[in-house]
Amino acid sequence: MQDWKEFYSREEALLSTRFLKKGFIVKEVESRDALEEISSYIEKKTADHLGLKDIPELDFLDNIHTKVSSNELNDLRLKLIADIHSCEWFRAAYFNLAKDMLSDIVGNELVMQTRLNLSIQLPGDDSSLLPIHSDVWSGDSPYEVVIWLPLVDCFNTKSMYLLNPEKLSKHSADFLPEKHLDSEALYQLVKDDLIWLDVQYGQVLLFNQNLPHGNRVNIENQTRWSINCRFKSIFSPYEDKKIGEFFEPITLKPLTKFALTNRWW
Amino acid sequence: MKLKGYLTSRPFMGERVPQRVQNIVIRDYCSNHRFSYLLGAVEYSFDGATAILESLIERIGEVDGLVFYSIFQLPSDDSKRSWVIANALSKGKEFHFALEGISIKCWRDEKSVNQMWLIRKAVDIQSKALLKSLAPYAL
Repeated sequence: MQDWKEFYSREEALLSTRFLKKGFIVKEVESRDALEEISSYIEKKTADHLGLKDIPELDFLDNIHTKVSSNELNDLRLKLIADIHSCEWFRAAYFNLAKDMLSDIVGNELVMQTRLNLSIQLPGDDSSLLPIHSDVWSGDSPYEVVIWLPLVDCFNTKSMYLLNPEKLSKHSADFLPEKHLDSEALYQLVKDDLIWLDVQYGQVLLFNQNLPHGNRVNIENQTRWSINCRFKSIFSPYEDKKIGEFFEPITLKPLTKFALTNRWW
Repeated sequence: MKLKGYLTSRPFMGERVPQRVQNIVIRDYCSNHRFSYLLGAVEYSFDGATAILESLIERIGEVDGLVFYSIFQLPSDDSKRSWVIANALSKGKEFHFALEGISIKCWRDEKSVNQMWLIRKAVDIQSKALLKSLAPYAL
């Protein structure tokens, strides 16, 4: 079949099928320059906050647990989040890591979360865990996706898990509030049907936040560093997280700009 | 910088925020930015009323601007909103919005806030019926 006879290109159709079947896509970042700027910015700011003159080694972030204790971690994380938000180019760079993939999966007129989240998980640390959850359980719109960027190689418990969408119907009754299960009990029920996401530095993950996901204590011997941010189509329905307070339009197209601002007829 | 607060008692964009909560969020924003927060004025509660906002801008005097809880407390009528902002900007005054953490200091800022208003209105017009009619195409 020639591509011109189809509304979706072959690549787009493949990506779409993969997303619906697996609930996630892992791809090489679309802008290596953006990734390198983001990584060096985080490394430099981390070194500054720790009072280090230079970034001491190649796997500085992987080994940060040798320099920061669990008690000092939250303070460092908050300082870095403030750095991210004071950096003018950071959000645009982040978007450019996955611009085409977002266009294929979500759309090309997008809103982006105003405040990016940074996750740092030291080996053996249980102070910053996200128990199993779906973002739509806490006010996110089902029309959102998450772009998740590892700043180090992430695998096994150094990464995150996602419930296999093909197993969702098997477990949907487990998640009903009348079951009164706590998050650990829920995890135990679904753990055999979870997919642990292997995402290397240089790759970016897009996942369906409607699907239950979370993380566990990192039992690998390296620290996990990742950033996450939500995107949705500007005109798809919003839930509790609204434009202005949580989302900001980033790619409004000219016709929409015209239509929003002109009522001359 | 000295900012005077502007609070509302009626719901805006389908949401109601108690004045105490509006005050807490505004105080936090001002403290983080090292602004002096001068106690706020509360808008009349009837729908569409902007009399208090207009009189604050008319008598803005020595204050550097107004601080709102949210951008969606600006007048919902497009021309009235533009007029209010234009009036403040022409006097060299600023608008700050604590929840969103953004401000209007120039026309470019006004454009981006106005865009959020117009998108939010357009999204609110979309009906559940439209989403239902789209459902068959998702199969």
